[in-house]
Amino acid sequence: MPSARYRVFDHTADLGLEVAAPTLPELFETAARALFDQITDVDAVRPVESRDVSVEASGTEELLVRWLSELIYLHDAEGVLFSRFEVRSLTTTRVTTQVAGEPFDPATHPVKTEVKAVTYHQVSVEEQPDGTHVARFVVDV
Amino acid sequence: MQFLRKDAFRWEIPRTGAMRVPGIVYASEAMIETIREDQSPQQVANVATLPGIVKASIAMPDMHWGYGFPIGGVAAFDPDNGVISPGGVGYDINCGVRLLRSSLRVHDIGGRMKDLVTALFRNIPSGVGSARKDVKLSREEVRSVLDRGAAWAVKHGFGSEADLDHIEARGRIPDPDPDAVSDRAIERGRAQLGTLGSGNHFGEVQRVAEIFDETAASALHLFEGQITISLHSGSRGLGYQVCDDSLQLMLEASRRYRIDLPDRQLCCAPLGSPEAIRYLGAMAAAANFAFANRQMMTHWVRQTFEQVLGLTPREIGIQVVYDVCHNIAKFEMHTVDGRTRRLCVHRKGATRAFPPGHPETPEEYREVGQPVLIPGDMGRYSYVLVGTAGAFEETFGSTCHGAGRRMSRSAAARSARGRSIVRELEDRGIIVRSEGRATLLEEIPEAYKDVADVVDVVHGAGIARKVAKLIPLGVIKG
Repeated sequence: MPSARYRVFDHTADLGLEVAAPTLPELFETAARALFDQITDVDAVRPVESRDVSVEASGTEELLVRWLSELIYLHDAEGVLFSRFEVRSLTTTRVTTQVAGEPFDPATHPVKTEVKAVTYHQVSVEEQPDGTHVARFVVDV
Repeated sequence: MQFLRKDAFRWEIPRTGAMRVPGIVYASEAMIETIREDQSPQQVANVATLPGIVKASIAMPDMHWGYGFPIGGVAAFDPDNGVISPGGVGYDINCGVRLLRSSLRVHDIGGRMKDLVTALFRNIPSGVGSARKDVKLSREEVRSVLDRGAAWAVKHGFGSEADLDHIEARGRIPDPDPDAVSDRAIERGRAQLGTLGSGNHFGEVQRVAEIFDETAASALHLFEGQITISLHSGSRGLGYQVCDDSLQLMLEASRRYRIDLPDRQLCCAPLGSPEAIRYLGAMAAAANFAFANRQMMTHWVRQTFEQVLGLTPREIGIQVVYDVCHNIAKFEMHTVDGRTRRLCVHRKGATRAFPPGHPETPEEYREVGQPVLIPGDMGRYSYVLVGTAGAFEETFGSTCHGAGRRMSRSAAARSARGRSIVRELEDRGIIVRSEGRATLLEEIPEAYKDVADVVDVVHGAGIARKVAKLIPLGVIKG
């Protein structure tokens, strides 16, 4: 399971996140962990309930934003937190995943920041010469 | 980027390249350097390229970088050849401010400020995963909220009819289309109606520290030493989802209608197109959700004061001074080059500031102008102003909205690390109750520009007039 290792980059009003991983599917998983680590301490979220989440878009970057947005929607509408993410399949137009977590519990989940939306602003997914995949995205908080 | 100084408060970004109109930035000389540092002036210029934009792409002194449109931006479009752009409204549709006045003075609180703030923090949920147990709406009921706005809340026992007279648009943007609001937006809204939100949202108990204009203050029923309460909050997850849903549509619409975009986040559709009508209907619905929300919170503020102080509602006398949007698009009548015409005015991080005599200025304020509520950061002060004829003439009746950030969240968090922000504020006489520790660090006072500077610019430029300064005594944050 990829750790939530990520870098925050400066952005006046909002939050920039940069993540890296050896493969594209792991990049998506790492990005989601980094996202939820802004909301709470992602290591404190037990992956006890899982569900399937699939999303379609035209292009990898849009796919990343749409998938992360879907997770934020589920979090907001149902009050759940996610900590484990598994990409089952990934093309440039569709990602199929299984995500696991538990309902938010103020006694065990520290409240960090509320995420309003994952934006398209300067979103990038790139492969570096050494094969590492890097993604950057900005979150409206 | 060229900035031509017109006078002490006005700077022009001349029309170049694809710009259809010039940019006008309201700022002091001292601010221009900071403004140049982020990309917001380029954003002002980008907005000026959009079809049907009228007169100028305007920015207020609290301007800073945003998605597509700068925050602190005002842009008006012709209904026949102009566009509507969700980026010109913002994710948090109808994020706005409500100011409540009371009959109380500081000494009436009698050393119970801590109890008051604690009770407000309990009665007005904020932050991640919070909700009032007694607010559980069906999807149909949520749609009713979207349709009726603040009136829905009044009908369900939150406050009174009289409150509605003191809200912009009487708490309902006309022609909402709840059907244009996605199921997921409704789900997010359902879970969050009656909550304050996090980030820079807050509830604040204040005292009126200074009166600048006795006549205006008198009309607004404000007096020195008075206890007031501000609420800064928007349309919560429902509004964010509406914006999110619309961006996809608008990107496709921009392609279909062949609108050249210097920045993808300026995606838009021609006014009158199905996409525009759909977005405007959803936007109005989301705005109404925010109005209802602030009306519900007003009721809980009243209840809290009664519970903690043991006084009657009459003795406490909490009334709405006014409630303004600062992220919205509205159809309004404005006079441009001698011709009065209907325009679609986008205000993103900007507040309507209608003049004395305007029919939409509430009757009891009609001689002094529409109240304008400008929150500062949580450690310093907020301001009450009124709208002016100058604003109506120059900025489509608009002015600034707040302090504007000057430090990124990560820089603020670094600066605040290891400090007890709660204790620092308490040492200055401000009680804070906050849900998210990270948020608190990111919201430290020094992360913001000084709102006094922002207000001095709009006052100096004549696009609003200072009435009163409010200082915080207690703050609740998500």
